[in-house]
Amino acid sequence: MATTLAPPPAVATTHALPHLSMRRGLGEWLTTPDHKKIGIMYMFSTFIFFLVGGLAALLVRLQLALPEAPPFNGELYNQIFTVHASVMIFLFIIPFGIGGLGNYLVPLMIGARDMAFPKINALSFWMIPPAAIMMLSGFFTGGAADAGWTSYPPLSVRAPFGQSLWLVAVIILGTSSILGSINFLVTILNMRTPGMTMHRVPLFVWAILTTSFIQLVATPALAAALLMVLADRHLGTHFFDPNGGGDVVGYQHGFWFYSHPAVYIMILPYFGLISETLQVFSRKPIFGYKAVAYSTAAIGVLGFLVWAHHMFTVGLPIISQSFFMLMTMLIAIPTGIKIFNWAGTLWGGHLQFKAPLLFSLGFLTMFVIGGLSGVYSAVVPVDYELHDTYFVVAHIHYVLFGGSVFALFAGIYYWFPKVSGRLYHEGLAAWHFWLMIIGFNMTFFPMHILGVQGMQRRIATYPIETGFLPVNVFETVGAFLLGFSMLIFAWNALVSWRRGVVAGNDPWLANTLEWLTTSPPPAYNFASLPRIRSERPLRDLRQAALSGDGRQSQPALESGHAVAPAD
Amino acid sequence: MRRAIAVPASILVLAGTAAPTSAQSWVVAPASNNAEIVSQLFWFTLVLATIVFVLVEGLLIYSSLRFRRRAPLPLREPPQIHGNTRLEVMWATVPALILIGLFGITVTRMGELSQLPVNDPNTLRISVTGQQFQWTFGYGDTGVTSTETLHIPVDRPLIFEVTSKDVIHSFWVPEMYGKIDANPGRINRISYTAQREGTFRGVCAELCGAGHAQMLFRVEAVPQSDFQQWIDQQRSGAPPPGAAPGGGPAGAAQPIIAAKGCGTCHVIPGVPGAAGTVGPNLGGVASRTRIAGGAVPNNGPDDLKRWILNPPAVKSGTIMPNTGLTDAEASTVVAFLETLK
Repeated sequence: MATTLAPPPAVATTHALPHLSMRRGLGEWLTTPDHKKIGIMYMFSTFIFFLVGGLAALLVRLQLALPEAPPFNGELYNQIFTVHASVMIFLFIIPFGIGGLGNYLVPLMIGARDMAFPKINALSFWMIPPAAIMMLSGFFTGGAADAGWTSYPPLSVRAPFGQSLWLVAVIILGTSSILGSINFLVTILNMRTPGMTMHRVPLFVWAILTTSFIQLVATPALAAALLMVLADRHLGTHFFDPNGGGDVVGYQHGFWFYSHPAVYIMILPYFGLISETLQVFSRKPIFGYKAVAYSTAAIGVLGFLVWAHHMFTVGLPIISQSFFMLMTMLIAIPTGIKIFNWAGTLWGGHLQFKAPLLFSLGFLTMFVIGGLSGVYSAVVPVDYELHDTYFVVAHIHYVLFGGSVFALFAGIYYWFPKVSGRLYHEGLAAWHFWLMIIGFNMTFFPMHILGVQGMQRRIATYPIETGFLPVNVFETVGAFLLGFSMLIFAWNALVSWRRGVVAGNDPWLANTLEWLTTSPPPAYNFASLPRIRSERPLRDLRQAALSGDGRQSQPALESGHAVAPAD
Repeated sequence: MRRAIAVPASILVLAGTAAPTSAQSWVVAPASNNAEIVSQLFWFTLVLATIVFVLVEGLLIYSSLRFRRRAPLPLREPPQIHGNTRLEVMWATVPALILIGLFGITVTRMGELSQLPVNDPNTLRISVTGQQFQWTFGYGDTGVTSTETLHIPVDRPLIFEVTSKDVIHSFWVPEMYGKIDANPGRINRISYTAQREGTFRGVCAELCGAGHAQMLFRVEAVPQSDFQQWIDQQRSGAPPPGAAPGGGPAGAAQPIIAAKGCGTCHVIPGVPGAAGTVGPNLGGVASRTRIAGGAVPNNGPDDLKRWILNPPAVKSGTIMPNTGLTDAEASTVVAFLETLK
């Protein structure tokens, strides 16, 4: 009886799969309101930005390996690392997680045909390319933004014209985020298929719900802060000019009121993704569904009360420093709960070491390091020393690269068969994983040590007597290894997209509704849906088939047209 | 993944041994009373974090290896466990208690660190002013100022009053204590007592523009008597020991220095009227290991000459202009400056 569990036999073919063919050509992509096509466009375009940001990172590493004869002068170096961070944050990590994965998956996971507002969804996406072009075009206007991604005034008020382009671009991207957030909130709250209560939605959907809430509340604060900088630059106001009665610290509160919650915007979707892959590849349910869902929501709320931990050296009163330290330590608790619940999910499972699980484990092990290094910076006096050093650079990269980017690749490998209809090459994916985790640790782990030794961040060079050189050279070698591992991924994705083994509806024996339909899914997503009885509807269908329940037959699973039994 | 296990061990080893003398870390060699406290907090956090790190990574790696299945797709599912409330309450509570304990200990120490010894008559107040891209230090009510080098006495309470003339900078001497932002329009105060004599590295830690990396300074921590002697010397305006008295090479350099207006920004011993305070005092410039706010190594006349011939080309963003010295003029000026030991 157990043989019915096996997936449909995979068939090698070079024929184009019907739903991927671009019969209507470019016009279809330019005008589509379809959430899956918009999701694919998000993912594809953000990967172009990942390439841009990655190349900028390699230039940064090159500079720091050559402190005696640096390839770039101070002005240009500041522009390069500003571009690196801005592109990675605003054009890669955030839009890939919500715009890309969220768009593609949320309607499928909740059994909806599309987002609530498909045309607004298309608008959200199409605001990104002009904003990106605007942000990068500063290089052709006599100087791009050079005040870092934090863009603190008065430096950002004095920066070259590219800074104004950067400010407008980020405001446009924020507007796109707000539109997307409303769309997700309405879709998730109103368009779930019958039987899918909030305690049965996939945890990825919980993550997108919380992230959308954070974006909606936080982004206007960023827009306000950036608009004030623009006004100081072009309208002669003095918001941040002490000679005109302004205050330089006001901006930092506005900026971090957005940008600390933004850290959760950058990682919660990936937390949600990990909750899905761990269940599927351990063949177990999530350990403590409600604990994971509610800790996500708790992070969403507490995340608004920790922003000034980025400002411990600004000269805030001791009482507010203590408050923000306490809140920062409290927010570690829901994060810890998640880690333990994920470990509990692995425990006693039947672990399938496919690429999605490899990258999920990479995420878990690396994110723990990023979480712990955050505790050092939360201890206020230790942060007086560590703030604005390479220790903090190491911390954010263990959270955003070791955390978000490892999870992002887990998600790409996991959903690659659904989006493309074909399987990726497992051997190349393993090479990608091992080179990436080795290169990543070579690049970023030694930064903890440099930071403790007193290497401040955002410096274009350093005196050779500091002794920072050998470690920096080692890191640069690691960075190029990390870059090389991405080429393996790109090769694997391109070749598998065209020639991979056909995947079938559900190659992983997964749990959630997107695997019920064909790969890739038709425009209408589902012809019909089963009534939802748990958070793992596909497993319910398999179990029903096994137990000989005549109303749900095996062919229904394979055709992607499972017929819902009448209740 | 397994690599990760070795990491807390390696941080211990590297922080302890690999640090060369010039970049000794505040963690292993704190040079002030406050750095000592911060170092203790760091080690305490490191021990806590290492324990958590080993336990959690151990759990993850153990379960990854222990529950690995090589069969393509398992025909039978493992037991479907949906959670365990007692366990989950435990792993929410224990970290919470650890973190609240860490919070309590830290807040107590923060009280000590934030004390300003304003009532101690022995306290020395030092004003610290950042501007693109150099620091200016003023010593109490003596009227004495310095750039490039911060002179401090050991075993005497210090209060630093930190501000900026233009953008945000951040005043940091890693081995002493720190850091504190220099905000235009605001004054931030920090206090500590240096406990170790020596030369220390000081930097700007907040991105402040093209010359940010080169906004460096030296800290000379000396016994109180030596410090007082230096202050007295500066106040009397007498050239430092060994400086050229005015004859010799200064004779040839003097008209050039006057024509180029060097004295508008610099105090130059032996040059009448050279009393500017925008740039560093050039007394003793020849014996400094670095010049230009720490941006340029000073290994001899050639370095000094390269700098004064075209300062903006050597240190981007510097406020010292290119005065259009000819090569011969520069050589004459440098020959004089080299006598200021």
